[in-house]
Amino acid sequence: MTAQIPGMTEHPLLSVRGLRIRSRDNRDRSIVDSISFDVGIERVALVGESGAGKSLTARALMGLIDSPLEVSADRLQFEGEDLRGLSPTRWARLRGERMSLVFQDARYALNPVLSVGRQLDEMVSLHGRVPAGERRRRVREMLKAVGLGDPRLARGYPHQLSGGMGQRAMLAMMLINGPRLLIADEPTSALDAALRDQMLDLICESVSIRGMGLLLISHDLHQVVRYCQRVLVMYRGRIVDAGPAADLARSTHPYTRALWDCVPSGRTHGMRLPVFDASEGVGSTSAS
Amino acid sequence: MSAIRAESLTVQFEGLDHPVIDSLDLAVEEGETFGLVGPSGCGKSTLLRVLAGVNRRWQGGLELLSRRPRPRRRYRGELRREIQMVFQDPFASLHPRHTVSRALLEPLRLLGTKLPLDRMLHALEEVGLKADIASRYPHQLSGGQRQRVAIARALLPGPRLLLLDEPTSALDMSAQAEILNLLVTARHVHGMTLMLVSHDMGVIAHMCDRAAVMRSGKIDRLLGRAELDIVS
Amino acid sequence: MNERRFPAALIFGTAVVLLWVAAALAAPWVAPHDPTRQDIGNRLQPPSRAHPMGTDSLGRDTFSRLIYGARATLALVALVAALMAPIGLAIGIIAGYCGGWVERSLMSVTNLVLAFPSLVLALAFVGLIGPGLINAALALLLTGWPAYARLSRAETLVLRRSDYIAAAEMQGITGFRLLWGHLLPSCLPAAQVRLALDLARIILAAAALGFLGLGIRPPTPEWGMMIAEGSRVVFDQWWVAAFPGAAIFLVSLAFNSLADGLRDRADPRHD
Repeated sequence: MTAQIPGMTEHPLLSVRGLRIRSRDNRDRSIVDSISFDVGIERVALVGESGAGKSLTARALMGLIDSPLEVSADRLQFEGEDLRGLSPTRWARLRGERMSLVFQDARYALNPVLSVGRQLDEMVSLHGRVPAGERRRRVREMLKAVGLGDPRLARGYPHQLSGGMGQRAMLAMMLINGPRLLIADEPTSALDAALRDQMLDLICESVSIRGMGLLLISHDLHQVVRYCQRVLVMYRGRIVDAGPAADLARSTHPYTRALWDCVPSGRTHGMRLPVFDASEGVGSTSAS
Repeated sequence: MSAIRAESLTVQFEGLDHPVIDSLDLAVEEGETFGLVGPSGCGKSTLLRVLAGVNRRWQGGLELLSRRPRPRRRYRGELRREIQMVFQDPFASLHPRHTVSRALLEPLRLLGTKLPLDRMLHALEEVGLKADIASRYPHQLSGGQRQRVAIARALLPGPRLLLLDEPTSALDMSAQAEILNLLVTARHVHGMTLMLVSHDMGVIAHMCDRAAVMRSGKIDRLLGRAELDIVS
Repeated sequence: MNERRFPAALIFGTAVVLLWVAAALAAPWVAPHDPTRQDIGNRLQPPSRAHPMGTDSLGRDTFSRLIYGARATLALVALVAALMAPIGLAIGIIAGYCGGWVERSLMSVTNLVLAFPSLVLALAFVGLIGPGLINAALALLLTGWPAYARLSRAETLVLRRSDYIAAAEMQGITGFRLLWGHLLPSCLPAAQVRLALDLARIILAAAALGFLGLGIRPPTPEWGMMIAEGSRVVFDQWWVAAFPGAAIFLVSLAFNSLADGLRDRADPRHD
């Protein structure tokens, strides 16, 4: 497991080998088909189209997969601890405290009837005995760190926040207990293009300052290449390409090329955007 | 020939201090693909809905496809057929309890189309969908498929002006590319004028001949191909 | 069986309701005795082989009266249900869609009727026009529709702003076609659940009317009326009131369970 093999790292925080997600009703077909990768103290991206299995993978890593889907793996370790068959109590300790997940839409993560400050406070008390004064201090600092320093925002409710602010609040909640790994599942897809870079800058900065690992899930290859060090490309449940971000733009893998080239811009005006022709298999692409 | 001409168009929502659209002037020629960009709340979606005849509370002058619609009046007849819209979230613009077939056959029957079933199958083919999709419900389709159905539906009455409100924002990159390709083909085949709202400058630069940047209900500035060509 | 699609509540509720309907329809063949045949010499007999649920104060077989009584209750409930929901839904959808003075006037009427306690209003109505099956049904119908109007108006107000209604209007779908084909289907799931719950209430209300002698006229058996008769002798001859009481309880419970089960199935957010 050396850094030379794409996908693998020395001293990984998270180590995955042969992860499989299947439906209990149809074990022959794997939705996620035996994927392997490591995440260390670095920024790794998992990229692919909708339906490739990226979100399912994220949930499997957080133990959030329920029946009728089943998770199996040859290895699924976080900081040396085996995540397979972990008890719910143990998961409750891990989630939010050592591993955190932010998703696309903060509306599904934030409790609509509690103020933002209250929710952050609750996050802290859930994971340890911290005196009230210390809790308040941490909440204040965390909100300031994500750009929500105005005290009125802490008293505000989730529905009073704009999309971007809601995402920041969710990020604050997920970082406040100092996890080692952050999984971000399409954190900017629901935001306007103008806000996306801001949000990713914030995520990467936060992760950097705290010496954390980041697994960024996205469907936008250009975006992840800008913000991450390593990229894993997923297609139909498999990792089909992987490597340092800088190399992805030049990758010769047909699917990666299609993902890279399909982005519209001033230069593509008047041209057809290349699309991946799935009927010809992962081994080829047709720019129609 | 002018497709859209707006003069001092104003839209004021109750209870808000500022008008959502503030005395706006706009001219779009037939056959053009015109883009609208701007931050959230700048009024671009509202403008589109006014042009579509969905939002009928406006003041000012409006000329669409050589006709002058009046505020508070629904579009009828030819005008209604010639202006169509594709909405941002296909999940929200297809009735959750109607199958694809119902969503397409109902307007066809209203249009008095002979052989509506054939026409429906042709419409599905035109947007790259297989016939078996007709019996499915929206929640059984992917985002890209839903948007294709929405586009197929919008094309049924044979529109001359097609309004698109963030048509690809809810889709991933590859689905977006397919939909944009589809729109370019449809535009050519049907000879339509397109008005496209997007927050993504890349999409605007790829699709449009010209674009307007909106801010606080007004047009801030216009962008031509020279400015759009350099958008990455 | 998939527990999600067929929750226990739904199975129980449906089974009891079907049993009730079957009993009502098959009464002439299933009931062992003529429900109106009096036999004073045999009055107030406890449950026995000949009379599984005993006899009432006029010697009539309680079991047969119970089965025949199911007919009365069924007729009443069916009548009310068939009219109450459609009328209420129609009023609410029209109010929600049209807005303006149409909405205001329709909702004023709705709120006015809602302001009265439904049973009191039903009683007053029946007191005014006289007892009987049709009148009782009418009374319950008139006090029951506002809830559906409220429900469908609320749903319509939300849907009016939705993109798919806007899309339908752009296709030239307006007026009745829009209300019936696009707005109504979205109001139905909530209405279904409401109806099942309401039926439980209606059965109890019908029994109350019957108990007060304002329902179906004797000698036609009706559960509420049977309880009224039995209440006079309830301490010594418990069976006369207990069996019809249990029947009402069971059918009410069945409708509540049905409503529960339907709600679990109908709410897509729970999938």
